[in-house]
Amino acid sequence: MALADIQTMPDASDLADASVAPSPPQPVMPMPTGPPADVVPPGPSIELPPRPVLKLPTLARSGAAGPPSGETAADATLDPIAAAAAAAASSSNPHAMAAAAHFASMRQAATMPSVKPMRGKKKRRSRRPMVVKVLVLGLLGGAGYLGRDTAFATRLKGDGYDSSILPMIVYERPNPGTVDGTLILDGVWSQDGVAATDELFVDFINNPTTGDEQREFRQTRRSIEDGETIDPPMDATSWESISLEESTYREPHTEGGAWQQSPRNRDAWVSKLSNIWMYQDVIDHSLRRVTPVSVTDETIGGVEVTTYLWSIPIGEYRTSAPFVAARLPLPELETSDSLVTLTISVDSAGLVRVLEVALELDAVIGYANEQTDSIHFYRLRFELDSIDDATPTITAPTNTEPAPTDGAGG
Amino acid sequence: MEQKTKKRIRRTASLLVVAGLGAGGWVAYGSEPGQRAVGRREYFRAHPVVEAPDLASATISTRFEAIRSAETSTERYDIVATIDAANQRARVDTTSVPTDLTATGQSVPASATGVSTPSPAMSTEVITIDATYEPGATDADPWTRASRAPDTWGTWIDPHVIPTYDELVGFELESMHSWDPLIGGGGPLDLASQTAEIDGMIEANGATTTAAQEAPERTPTDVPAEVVRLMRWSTDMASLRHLSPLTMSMLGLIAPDDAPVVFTLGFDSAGLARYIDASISLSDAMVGLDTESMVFQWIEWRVLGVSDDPVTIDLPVNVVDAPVT
Repeated sequence: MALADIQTMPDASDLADASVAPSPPQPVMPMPTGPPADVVPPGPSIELPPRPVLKLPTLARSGAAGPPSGETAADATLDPIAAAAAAAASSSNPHAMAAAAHFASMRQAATMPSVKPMRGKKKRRSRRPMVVKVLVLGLLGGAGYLGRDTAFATRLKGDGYDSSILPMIVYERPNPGTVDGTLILDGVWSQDGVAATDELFVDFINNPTTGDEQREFRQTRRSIEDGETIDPPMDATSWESISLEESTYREPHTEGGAWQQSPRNRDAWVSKLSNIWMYQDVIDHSLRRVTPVSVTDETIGGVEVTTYLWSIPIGEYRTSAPFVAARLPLPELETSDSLVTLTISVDSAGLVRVLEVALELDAVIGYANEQTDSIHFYRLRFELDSIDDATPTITAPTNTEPAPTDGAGG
Repeated sequence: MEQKTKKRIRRTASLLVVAGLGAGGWVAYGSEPGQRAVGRREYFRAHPVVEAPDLASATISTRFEAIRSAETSTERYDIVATIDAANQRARVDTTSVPTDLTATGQSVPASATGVSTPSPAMSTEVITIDATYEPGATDADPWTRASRAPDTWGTWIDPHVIPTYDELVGFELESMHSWDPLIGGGGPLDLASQTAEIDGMIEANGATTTAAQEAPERTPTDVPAEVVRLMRWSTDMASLRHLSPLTMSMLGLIAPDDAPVVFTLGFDSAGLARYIDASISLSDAMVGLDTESMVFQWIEWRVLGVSDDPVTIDLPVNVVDAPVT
């Protein structure tokens, strides 16, 4: 039954004087209007003695107490329905009794939904909802515990986020026709207890697609005294080389001589380093965790770059910068407190314009004095001067002869 | 209060609740935790550090197929290194099996006929921090000791001989499509390039021929059971040099830049590499192969075991120093 229907039910006041002022409720049977004429003979009204109250359902409505069982008729008159029932019972009118019973049942039905708990009284509830809540909370807690290490959970927890860390960006790799750059390789070698530096400049122009490359070498050797290089240099030479698909040609030692041709070694150092390097080629997950000593915005060769500078103990070089270290290995100095200076300059397109790793010269000199079998690099620098869509014109020299032993070194 | 008014109030309240939820959701979406949850802050997120454990010993296997065009043959190497990390010693046992490429067709050079003439050669080498020891021709002959620079870089006694995820995988490789070839169970990998054919002009022993050649079938091996994360990419050699430079330097994989390569990495639960594989089809590997050079068709690196228990590698007693060149 709807609330509106309940509200349209006959009110107690309507039934207060049912025998005098009938107000027939709808749509039930007509209100009793007193006994029919054929049942009750006309005559002066007589006062009937009190009779036992008709026991009808007396479910109390809020604020209107029905006559409890055993109450007197006088008490029952407080309730119009009870009064009507009492009147009907006293009149012995079956219609009135039926109507009174009907209204009593109607009131019971009407009051059922609107029964409200008494203020201050606790409603007795089933325990089932509480069990369900506990189960739901337990399931949620268990799922949260099991998923605490999932990607989503770690994101919410904020594990590993640092706004100052180098961003994890993959720049698009360009496909230029020409790459123009410089390699600088500084090493130390020792012979008979005498150490010297070997400085090699390589200016290169290459075609990244074909691998054709033209290089100019300048090699300078200087002796070392008291940990410092001495000028003038002991030796300074320069030469040019051209590398095409299968061969490398080295400039003749004498003017007018033939270029020396040798098979090209594409796995040579210089070939590996004379490529385009992108931000993501040198900045790896490990290096991102190392805080740079400085971050500088500057202009190099007319190009605006951001230069990152790290200072890393040599013992941590490989684990701190594995991508750079894999390409530019440095001597494993036993003095692990020696510092590697790593410099990376990146332009707005993600191109690495400068990449340099350097060790302190003193530390490498001592190492070279113990290892006299080879040169030990202490500074490796790559500079990208420019890239261009146009392809360079690199052709083989005309006057060539097979190299006697080694070529131009790749 | 009239019913219509009540309904209007309820409707307005409902709209306000919905609007409030929307506004709250929008604010939450734009908040830092919200942006993290939807993955828009991954640029500024660092991987947790994977510390290389201080292992007492390890056993690592490397197998590869080297192709030498001069003999139109392949040579399969199977290297097992037992590493005493505490004393920086390693014993390296190498087995090499030369096999001819199986050739069919016309004008086949004599050296390319016939299938596989295995004559496995076995050798042992002991490596220390400053020397290598090689056995003599017979057990009675002394070992030869050769001094070397005390570098561990790229050797079996390198403390970082087992690289970590961060050392092998950069964020470009991470952003590329990868797949797990073993989803649904372990077992040997089914590499497409186990067997490959090459058609066309083949230069060998000074002769040029038109033939189809087939590399000897690769014996599949199981991915180590410790691998919990197996990732495979399809790329090319030139890109792989950029994508995983440490892989290239530690494996020394030699192949043409344009060669398509199937690259597989497997990591254990601690983030340490347990499996590395790079495979190239024979035809792609042999492109541009001249008579002097050698290329790899595939190379496989596996950690057979690591332990906190030390392993003893004795240095040979009967030793002579190698002549200084």
